[in-house]
Amino acid sequence: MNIFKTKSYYKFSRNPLSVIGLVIVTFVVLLTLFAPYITPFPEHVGPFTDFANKSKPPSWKNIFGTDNIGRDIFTRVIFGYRISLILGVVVLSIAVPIGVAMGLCAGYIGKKTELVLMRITDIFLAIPALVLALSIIGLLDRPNLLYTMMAVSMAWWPWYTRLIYNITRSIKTEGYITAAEIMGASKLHIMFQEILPNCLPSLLTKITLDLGFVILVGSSLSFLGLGAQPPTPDLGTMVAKGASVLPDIWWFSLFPGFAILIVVLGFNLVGDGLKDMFDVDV
Amino acid sequence: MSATQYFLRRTFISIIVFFGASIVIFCLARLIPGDPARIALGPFATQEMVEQYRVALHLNESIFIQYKIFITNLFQGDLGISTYTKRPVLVDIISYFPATFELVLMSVTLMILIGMPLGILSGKYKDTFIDHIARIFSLLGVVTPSFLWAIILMLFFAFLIPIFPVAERMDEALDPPKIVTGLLLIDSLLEGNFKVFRDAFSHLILPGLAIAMPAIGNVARLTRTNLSDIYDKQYIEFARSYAFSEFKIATKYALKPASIPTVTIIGLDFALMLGNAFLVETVFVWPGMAKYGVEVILAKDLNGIVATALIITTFYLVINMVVDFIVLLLNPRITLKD
Repeated sequence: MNIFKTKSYYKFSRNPLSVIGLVIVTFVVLLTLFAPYITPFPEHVGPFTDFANKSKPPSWKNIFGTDNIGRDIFTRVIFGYRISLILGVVVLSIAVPIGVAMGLCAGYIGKKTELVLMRITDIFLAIPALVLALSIIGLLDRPNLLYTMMAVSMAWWPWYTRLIYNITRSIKTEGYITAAEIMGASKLHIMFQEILPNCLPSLLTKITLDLGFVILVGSSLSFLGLGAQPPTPDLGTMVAKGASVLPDIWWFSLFPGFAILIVVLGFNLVGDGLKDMFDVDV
Repeated sequence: MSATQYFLRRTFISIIVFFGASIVIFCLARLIPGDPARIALGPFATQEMVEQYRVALHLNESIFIQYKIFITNLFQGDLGISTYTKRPVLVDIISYFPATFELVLMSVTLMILIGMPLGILSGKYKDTFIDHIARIFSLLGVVTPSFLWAIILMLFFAFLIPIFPVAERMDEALDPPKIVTGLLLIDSLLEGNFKVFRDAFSHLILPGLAIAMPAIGNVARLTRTNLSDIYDKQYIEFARSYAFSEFKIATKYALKPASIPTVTIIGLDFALMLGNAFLVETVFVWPGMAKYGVEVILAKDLNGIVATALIITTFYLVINMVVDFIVLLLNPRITLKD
């Protein structure tokens, strides 16, 4: 693969916004990787209380202030990023393979397979994603991070089916596919060895964009109390807790909120950069 | 294919998708691991209570019979009893839905009124200062969670500069108008009660804006791209050579074709906005469908959850049908083949 050939990266780096996005994403990933070493109060992640220092406004000691039971919000935001990134990666590693496999089958095999698979996809797309995820979590036993991931994945795969289906449809009559067919290549070989590599640029772009949006949806669910449960530091939960003490203790909800914004923005900018670099439409 | 045939076909497809969605939602509610009756009643319910609940919801029948009962009841307007409010779910929905409907209509209006001009500005003055500002604004709209918009808007326009109210649909001190449509704006106008109208309107602005923000960004981006494509077309050049005013070119020749993809995206963004309503209604204590939805989800109310998901999906389907017909009106040469 020649994705990272100098010329392509040159095109990517021409747009300052894409580079800013890449910097944001790298920065966030590094922060989460080294979270226990760089955060000032790693012990504030768990069930920690310090009522002497509760609801302190931002200062040099606690740059984002402290929450209603005296925990450092900056520390919890960094650890919250961990949860968010894990959520994004897990959701997409469930949703993408399902969506890709269905899209390839529907697009290449055609006929009844296409009809059935695409109707199922359409039906899932007819239910607004957040509403579908909400209902699934509502129906499951007790909200926790694992259920959130499952629910968001269930709502997310149809978009990949759509994407891969459209690409497959447009390239399945190309010469090299026919050549492979004439040589007697199996359907599996054609789908995964001939068609899939041609989907990679679009796929990679969409995955990057979606990492941000999955994090956004995940935080929306935890904002409603349907994500990781306390004391796990989750950005959405923190915003929700802080929203009840507005406007006096504004830092409690605003900083975690902006943290979500920053990471979504980062993935979005990188995704847009990739879109221009590969010249694809997702 | 004539427009009528298109209409019938489109309706038919929507009905099939509706049935599909009802099957998906229904199966989710019944096939998810764990006993739904036990989950709904909680760990402290006695075995008899669970058994009673199972009988009441026909959980002991086979899934096909359960679905048949469900769909038959649905068409008789019976969505079951909510274990959370202890009322028929349909009654709940009739009382909560108008609030959400009014809010989402407000959001769509704001989305068009802000998104399109923003897109037009940046499409017309491409790569200038105005364009950059508009693009940054629309990018921020897309990447900011709507609950954060709700909180920011609330902080600025309700607490810092108190020009808009914080919560609920109208001031408690005012007498609510008689319920005709359930939409406060229309009901108050029917009574000629302008005080309530103004109050309800000011209550709608902030939550409406918070829901619309992500969609505004999408609309602006799309309008920008389309408009700049259309300004490159020859017929615009041609209109210029006839010395038509720039205003006439913009409104008569450029905007109409540029608005077609925008109208399409409004249909798609509806899903986004309905989802966001769940978050924004929670922040603004809005007594709507979404708030009801969150409450029944937290209360594990099986009938309530299924009904909420189904009603919102139906709403989304209907809106998308309407959008498709509007697109047809805007673009008569649309290929009606498939």
